[in-house]
Amino acid sequence: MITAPFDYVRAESVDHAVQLLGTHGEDAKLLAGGHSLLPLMKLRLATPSVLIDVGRLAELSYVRDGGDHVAIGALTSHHDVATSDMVATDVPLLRRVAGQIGDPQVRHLGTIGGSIVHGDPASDMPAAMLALRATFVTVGPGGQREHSVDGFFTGFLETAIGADEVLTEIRVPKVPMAGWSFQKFQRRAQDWAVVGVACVRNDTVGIGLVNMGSTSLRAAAVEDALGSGASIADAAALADEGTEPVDDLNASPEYRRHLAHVLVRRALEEASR
Amino acid sequence: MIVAGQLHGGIVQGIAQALWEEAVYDDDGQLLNATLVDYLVPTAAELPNFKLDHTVTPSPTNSLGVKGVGEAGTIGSAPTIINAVVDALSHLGIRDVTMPATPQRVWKLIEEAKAR
Repeated sequence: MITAPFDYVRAESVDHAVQLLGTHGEDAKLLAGGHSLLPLMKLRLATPSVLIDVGRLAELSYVRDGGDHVAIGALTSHHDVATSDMVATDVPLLRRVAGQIGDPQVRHLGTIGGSIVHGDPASDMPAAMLALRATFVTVGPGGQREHSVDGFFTGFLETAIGADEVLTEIRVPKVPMAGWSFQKFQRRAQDWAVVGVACVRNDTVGIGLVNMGSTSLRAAAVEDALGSGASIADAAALADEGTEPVDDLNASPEYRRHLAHVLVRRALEEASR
Repeated sequence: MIVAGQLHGGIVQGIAQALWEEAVYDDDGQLLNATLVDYLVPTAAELPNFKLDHTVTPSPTNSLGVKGVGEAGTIGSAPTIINAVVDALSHLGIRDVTMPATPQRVWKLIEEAKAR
């Protein structure tokens, strides 16, 4: 439970962080809230040679009105997302998801950006981003880039963000009138989801799946079926299409597929009320 | 207060055995859930409030009339939970559920019963 040796530097700005990433190369990792990275380092599943601490860049902690979207700084804590009036009004699903991550200590230190770039399929935030069709803004040596959430989660703990890029902002389309639901099946209140479902429904539908494969996944078959006029029950029966759920102590792949069917149906029913 | 706290803890240990706690080994004898991340112990969030009552009958075998109480809750709570689970599944012909009665284990029993 003790990390491998590493060096530590503190970034004074986003540009400084990008510069430090360029200097230290692929063995460097950005440190934000540390609530995903540090446990991995203590288990020695991650052994970065350098930690570049961006945790004190207050300029990246904000929730702002972006017109048709809510703009959230990457270093905004889960607590600040969950208690933002704008998020509550314009993206109530996000308020729910951020407000039930871990426990209060975790929510005060863990950040929305850190949770997204960590790319853990068992985390709730990436699936919520899929349901909400968020856009991510990164800054690198070549300047600023925008990434659609679709295609961003490329593999287990891997994303489309470059090794020399910093996630700076998350843009979440406003859906104040949409129905929504977050369904999380877990063994205990603070556990990771065995399977989770984030759902937004207005004239279109967005569904993100937690823990149904090596990345967070969009339930595309369900979305398409609903777009073609299928009933909730028929669409939900497609919830596990294109998924490859893992086998672990909590659930077999078969049980996870069953949970996906049930939770997607419940999510659609709640979001359609 | 001490007696109530002892009973709460004892009841929870029994419930935990019925629903969560299990040492899982692989075929080579390797313990698969050796940390408290994987070995599930319930927290306050998983549990109800308890309403306790007592029968007060002093012990005749010592001059203070006292009795032990600590594990009284444990003895009753595990079978209470498991019997309730079995009762809920009895219409499917299910007569036994291995502890802990995890969601997956109960789901499997239901699926197997349906297939019969």
